[in-house]
Amino acid sequence: MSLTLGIFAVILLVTLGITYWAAKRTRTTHDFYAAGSSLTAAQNGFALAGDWCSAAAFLGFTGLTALYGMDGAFYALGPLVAFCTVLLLIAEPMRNTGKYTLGDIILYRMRTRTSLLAAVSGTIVVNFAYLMPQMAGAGVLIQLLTGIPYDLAVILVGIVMIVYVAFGGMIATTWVQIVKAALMLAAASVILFLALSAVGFDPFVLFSRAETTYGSNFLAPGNYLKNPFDEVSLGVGYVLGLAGLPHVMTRFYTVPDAKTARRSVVWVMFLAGGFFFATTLFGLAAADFVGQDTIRAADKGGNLALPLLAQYLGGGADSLGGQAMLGFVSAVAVATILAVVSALTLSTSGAIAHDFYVNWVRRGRVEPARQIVIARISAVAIGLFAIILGIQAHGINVAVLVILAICVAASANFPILILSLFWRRFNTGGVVGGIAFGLVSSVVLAVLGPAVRGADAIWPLVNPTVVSLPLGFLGAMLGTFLAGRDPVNEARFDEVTLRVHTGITAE
Amino acid sequence: MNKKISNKSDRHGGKMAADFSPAHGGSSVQPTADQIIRILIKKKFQVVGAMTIVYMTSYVGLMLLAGFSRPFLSRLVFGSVNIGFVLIAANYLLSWVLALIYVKIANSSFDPLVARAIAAAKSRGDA
Repeated sequence: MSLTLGIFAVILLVTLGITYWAAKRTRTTHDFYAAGSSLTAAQNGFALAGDWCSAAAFLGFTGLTALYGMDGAFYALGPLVAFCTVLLLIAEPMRNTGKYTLGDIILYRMRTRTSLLAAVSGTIVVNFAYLMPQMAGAGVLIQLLTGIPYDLAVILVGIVMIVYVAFGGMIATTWVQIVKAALMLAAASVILFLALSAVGFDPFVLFSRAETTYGSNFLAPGNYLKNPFDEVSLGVGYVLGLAGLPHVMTRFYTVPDAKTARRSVVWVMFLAGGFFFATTLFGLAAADFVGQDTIRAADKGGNLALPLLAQYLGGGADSLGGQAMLGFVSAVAVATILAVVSALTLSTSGAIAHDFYVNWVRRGRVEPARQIVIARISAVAIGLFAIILGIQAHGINVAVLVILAICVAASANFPILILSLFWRRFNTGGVVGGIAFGLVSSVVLAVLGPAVRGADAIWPLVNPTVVSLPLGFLGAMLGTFLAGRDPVNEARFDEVTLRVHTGITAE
Repeated sequence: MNKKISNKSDRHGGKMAADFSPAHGGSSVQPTADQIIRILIKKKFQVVGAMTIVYMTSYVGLMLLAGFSRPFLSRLVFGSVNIGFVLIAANYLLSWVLALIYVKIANSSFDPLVARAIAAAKSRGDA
């Protein structure tokens, strides 16, 4: 415990130092929201890896594989495949078209206040649905790992996150992500090396030992996701939902051009993809070396499988090596949560301060110097709100919110983004229809499903994306046709297209 | 399959060069930015479309098998490794390979067109 706190204190000092350095360099809103668009592909790739690897990925994938076999491996594979969607369809047009937020793109394409408001609501729902379980997860994990009480842990995480974001903006958030991603990959490399050396560098031994101990059914699909449609829904939700997560999308504004955005996706695909691949081996190793009973005893959801595996590989609970490994992995897990909640807070601040207040309420008529003050104030307010949400969430099943976040991202944000970029006839009615159908169907189906109602579920699927995503697209098309043709908007589409593909504005 | 894609895009590139090369008719028939973009979109559509079909088929197909064909995925291939894990590994490889191929095509085939479109738009703007 104290070793974890010690290592974490070092990470905290380093990241606060970074924040101090970043604060001095954050002078404009462009610095605050987009780090001055000055990152390299490798830097943004590391930061993207940090953004996507929440605690659910860092700890959860290993735990799921350790307890449920192949279904855990599906959870790990999904986000990598999702980056194919980001690479092929999202990254470059995002960089070329927007400034700080998803709302920027919709406003640029439609030039209507209604469409901006619809886009903002999509972003805010996704971000808070994602932020609340992250805060709750932070409380639970920190309590488990360090013994600090839940409420205090949530408050501490909230305060550090506010400091990162309000003072250091995107520059600090990015470098915190980079530090965290580097630590995470370092921890994973050490664990992988030790785990493989324990089986004579033959990963297939891990499979045969898992089969011997737990039977061949352990390595078969369907141990975690019982309903066949849930497997499919998980897949679709992942592959298109990731592309609609605002805090991931806004990362592409931190690089100077589309080419760098493209290269940064390749970086993240190899960095995070390699990590995801390793978590499957970690899961099998944890099931074998630590044992499912020990993992379940430490945490029902399996979230401590990776720290326990690290402890075992370091030499066991009584050895210095074991304690050091446990401390290191636990500290990185805490850093992981901190980095992700910071990115979410920053992205929410973009939606509330930049999209809603500056562009919607004040119609863009706000002095640049004041905009950055408003951005910082909103970051503090969002952070405080997140702390309250986190404390409220104690003991509530927040898993549904994670599903909801990804589901709304896939069903509401993704359709309107894609159609805005690539469909000439798409109009404000379509934006409203897409957001409304995607949002409402996701929320209603998630609430009626097993994640909330358990055995009394009216709707059979945990993850409703397989239905809500088509509904989102349907709503977007219905809205477009019902709103009637908009010749001016359609005529402007040539200019939009030029910008989507080149980043220049044609006049 | 990818060979075919790149051949196709090369052919379009060749066609464009023939249609719009300055040597053909001097500055008066310089293509506009919109014309170049149209060619770019056509190329992108072929490459991105084909790749999207490949990775979506591969991944969603695997998830469909995971949902509806569990005995098949559980069949052992070598040692204790079953078809499911082999296909999972194949999906990792496919994602990485597709990403590298896409970047190669984008660098060699999309970026020059983007540069030309920007130049065309700027020269028109200056004139």
